[in-house]
Amino acid sequence: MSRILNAAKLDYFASKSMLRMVSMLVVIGIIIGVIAHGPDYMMMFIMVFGVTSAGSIFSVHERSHSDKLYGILPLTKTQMILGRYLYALVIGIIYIVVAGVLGLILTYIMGVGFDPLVYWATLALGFAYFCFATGVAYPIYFKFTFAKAYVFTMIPMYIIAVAFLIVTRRADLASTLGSIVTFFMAHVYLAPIFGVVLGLILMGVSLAISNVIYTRKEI
Amino acid sequence: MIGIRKWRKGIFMNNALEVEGLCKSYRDFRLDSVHLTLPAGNIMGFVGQNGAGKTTTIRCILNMATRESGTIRVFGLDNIKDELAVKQELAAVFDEIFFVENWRLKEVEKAIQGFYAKWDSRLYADYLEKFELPANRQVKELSRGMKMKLMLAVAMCHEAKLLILDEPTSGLDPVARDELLGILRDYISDGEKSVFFSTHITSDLEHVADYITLIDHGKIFYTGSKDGLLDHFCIIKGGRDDLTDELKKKVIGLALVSNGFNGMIHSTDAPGLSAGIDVEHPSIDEILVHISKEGGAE
Repeated sequence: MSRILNAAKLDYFASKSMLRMVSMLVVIGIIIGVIAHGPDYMMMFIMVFGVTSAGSIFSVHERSHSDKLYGILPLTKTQMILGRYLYALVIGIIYIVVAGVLGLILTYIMGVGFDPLVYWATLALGFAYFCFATGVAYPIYFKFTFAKAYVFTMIPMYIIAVAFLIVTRRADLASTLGSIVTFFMAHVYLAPIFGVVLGLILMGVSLAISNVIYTRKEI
Repeated sequence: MIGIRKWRKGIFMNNALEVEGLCKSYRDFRLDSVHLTLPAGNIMGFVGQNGAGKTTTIRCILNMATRESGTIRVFGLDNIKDELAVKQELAAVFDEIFFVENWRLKEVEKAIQGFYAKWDSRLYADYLEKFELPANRQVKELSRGMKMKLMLAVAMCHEAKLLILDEPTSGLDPVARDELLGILRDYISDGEKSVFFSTHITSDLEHVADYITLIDHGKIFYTGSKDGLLDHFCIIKGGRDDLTDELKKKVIGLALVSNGFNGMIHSTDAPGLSAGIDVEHPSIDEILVHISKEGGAE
């Protein structure tokens, strides 16, 4: 376990300067929230930027030839992968906390109403999106490297767009959505739990795929 | 764990590195049954022209590339089965630095030290001072020679018993190269530590290497003591009339020049040569050039 923590710590040290820069994107999220007059928009955008932060670690390591560093460290490839996902999860949690706190602050400042269900559902969806997008991007980066695969980071967006298109064409959409909303209105506390569980499942699947890819790869 | 305990008791101290029958194929290149043994407390030069298989061998030793067959043992431990224990005891230096370019040198320690059981922070600070590396400077601000020293400092302060260097002197100016060789000499002075040093700049090895392994086109041409290598071969130069058919068969890397020929032979073949042929002791460089001309290892 200590090796996995050390691997995550190494990723933190590697991305520290980059994170400072990427964190500036939060400001863009706030501006979008103010313009759209909706804290929920801001929260979602912050989570989208969180994906950029979590992916930037690959760029840093590639620029620094860190594959060689990982080649000499007393660390198995699986431990390195676990460390990288732990790092991503921590980034996701930080961003979700920042999004949540800023959402409340913006709600207060702008004097807009923010339904608790919408608030928690936004955070839950934001976290699930973060895990989904990171979970899609990481195996691609492990397979093809960041420089070659950066263009594919939009894949999660395309998948969501296509899924949305298919779902909205269904005639029974309104009743399905209605029953989902009714369920979560009755059980508000389940919204964040749903988001976290869904996100963790997505990350777990992604981790398993990355592990298969990376352990077979020559570094 | 048994292996580590035995190693700690000193049972496996005889050989720092043993490679037997190592094979690895790529589309256009094959490492063919590579074998070498580095006794502990010595420096081995791993010599070959570019593309001969030096880096591939090192990558296999570090388990960065998967071997197809053969065994690799570091202090008696298998480099794959006992990878974590092996990597506690070895360090590697490459021709390019592998630390994050924005790290300050003190951050290098913060990021790396947790991985090593025997990391010594005081030693790291001492090495930074000794190598004149400012702790607040960023990695990207270092010169090539300083980057090399930084990798060595990290290698040395976790008490690595085997230091593997892949082309560390390429691109260094003569002063920096000389400094590096001095550091290596100091490093092995306790008699326990060993260095495996790949290079194509053979003059570096004349001064520091105890053992030499010559690799050519993925095959080992010679592995053994440096003195043995230099005694093993002779450079011969003579007129065209001296070049008999029998001699042609013995010459390695025969070159015909305007006024005669030159080549390399095994020292055991030297006594029967005609009086007109000059026989000289070779340098490692000359041996490398002649085996390369021959177009493959024996």
